[in-house]
Amino acid sequence: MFIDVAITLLKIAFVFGLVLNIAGILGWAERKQSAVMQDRIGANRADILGLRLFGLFHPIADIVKVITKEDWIPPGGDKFLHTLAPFLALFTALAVFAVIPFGDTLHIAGRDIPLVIADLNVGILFVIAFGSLGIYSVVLAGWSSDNKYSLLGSMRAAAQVISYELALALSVVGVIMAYGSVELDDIARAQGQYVLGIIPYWGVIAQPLGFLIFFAAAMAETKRTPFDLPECESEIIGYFTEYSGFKFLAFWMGEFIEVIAVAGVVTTLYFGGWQVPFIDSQGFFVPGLFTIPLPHLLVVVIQVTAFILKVCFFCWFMLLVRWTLPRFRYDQLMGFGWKFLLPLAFLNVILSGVIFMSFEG
Amino acid sequence: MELIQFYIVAAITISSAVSVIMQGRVMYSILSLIVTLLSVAWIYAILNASFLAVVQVILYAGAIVVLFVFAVMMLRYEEIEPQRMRTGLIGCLGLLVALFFIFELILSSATGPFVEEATLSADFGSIKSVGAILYTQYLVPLELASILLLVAVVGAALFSKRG
Repeated sequence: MFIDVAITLLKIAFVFGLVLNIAGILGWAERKQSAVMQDRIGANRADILGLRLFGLFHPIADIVKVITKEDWIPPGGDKFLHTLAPFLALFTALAVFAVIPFGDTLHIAGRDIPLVIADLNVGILFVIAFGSLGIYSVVLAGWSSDNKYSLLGSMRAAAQVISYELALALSVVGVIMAYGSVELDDIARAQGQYVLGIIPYWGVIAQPLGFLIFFAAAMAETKRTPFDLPECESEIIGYFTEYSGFKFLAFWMGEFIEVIAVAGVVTTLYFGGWQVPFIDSQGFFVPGLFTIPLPHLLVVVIQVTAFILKVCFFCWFMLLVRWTLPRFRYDQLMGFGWKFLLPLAFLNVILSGVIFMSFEG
Repeated sequence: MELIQFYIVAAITISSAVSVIMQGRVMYSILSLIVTLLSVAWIYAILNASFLAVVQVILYAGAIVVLFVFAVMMLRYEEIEPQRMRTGLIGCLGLLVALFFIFELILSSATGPFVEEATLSADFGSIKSVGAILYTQYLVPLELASILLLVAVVGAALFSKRG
């Protein structure tokens, strides 16, 4: 009993420590990435005793700066809701990580430890549920600010999130069909199979169209360019205009945590989760030829590292997309969601159903 | 352990439900409603109906109440409504409905089938078992309900065209 609780706490500490650290580094990476793409130098000034380290101290400097800023609540606004909203944003983004498996079951000292915080049998639906609860932080932030433009920004945001949620949820149906389970753990495990003996049967192989729909819709859910109309940090007014100091940072971190969450879910659903091609619990193998046995602990470490690397890759990829594409116009955004992604997601469900049925039958 | 959990959730559910009708400010009423719906989902989760719990969160807390919030955001309302507890005809009707439900509750708890230590099958409440029942035993009601939803969707689209 006691050991179980300790193990769960350790897993929570590992996952949250990892996520929050990646989120902090993403803040630096985003600036550096944009600088590289725009032929600038980027964040490199923060130093400790003259040591600059490519500006990697900037996240720390940011935190110090933000915490020492004045915390401003609009006099006409609602104090309680104004304070609640940024923390809701953090909470709903972080809760998603509870069901994302980051490694195969660890066998150690006679125990089987599944490397996922909460092995719920609703799996991916839990992710969707917390994704849809994320709307409240946006809506409450805009409403409690007592600012017409914040209110309009939050309306835009809510409309966008609701619209893209449909395509997001529908594109997941294809993955559920392919692996016959909604549990993320089962889905990750099922991706260890091979097509024709050599191609890993990852979600992106089984569901190429579904992956594109999911990724586009998920990017819209994180409210980043090209879907960043709700925020429009660079010029017009969004829902967190009236926020300052630590609460603004909470929204900012919430956005980066959402990016990591999307990267984690995409990795788990479409890129094999913790699977590494040609390495399984027996060790490294070349199909049909030979196997080099590896110790269990090493295999688990390799798989967890692979999962983290894949997540980092997708975080980076989303930064790349952000600084490459211009923003949608509002009517284009709605048209893209309702008239293109949603029908495509329906088509994907029908096509997947027909294909899987004909392969089985 | 389970009992303690249940009492905590039940207390949260009832107090937030009372708060929905007693709050002076509409936005706080709606937030209380969200808390009520989430704690009902928690009760489902305690009862091993995990699928129902998640659907409760996605549909009610995540979609339907968002529409309420939308409406409140767009409307300009008095900061404190003096007469939330209205008397008169509507109040009488409300009381009548409430009495009817209390009567029904007492009646069903007096006569209903209760099992002390009910045993559940291993996949009780999972998506597979719920789906299997929905698409075999209750196929016709399910299809009828989906036609109803389709009509609602088409109707909404039609109204938006006219407006």
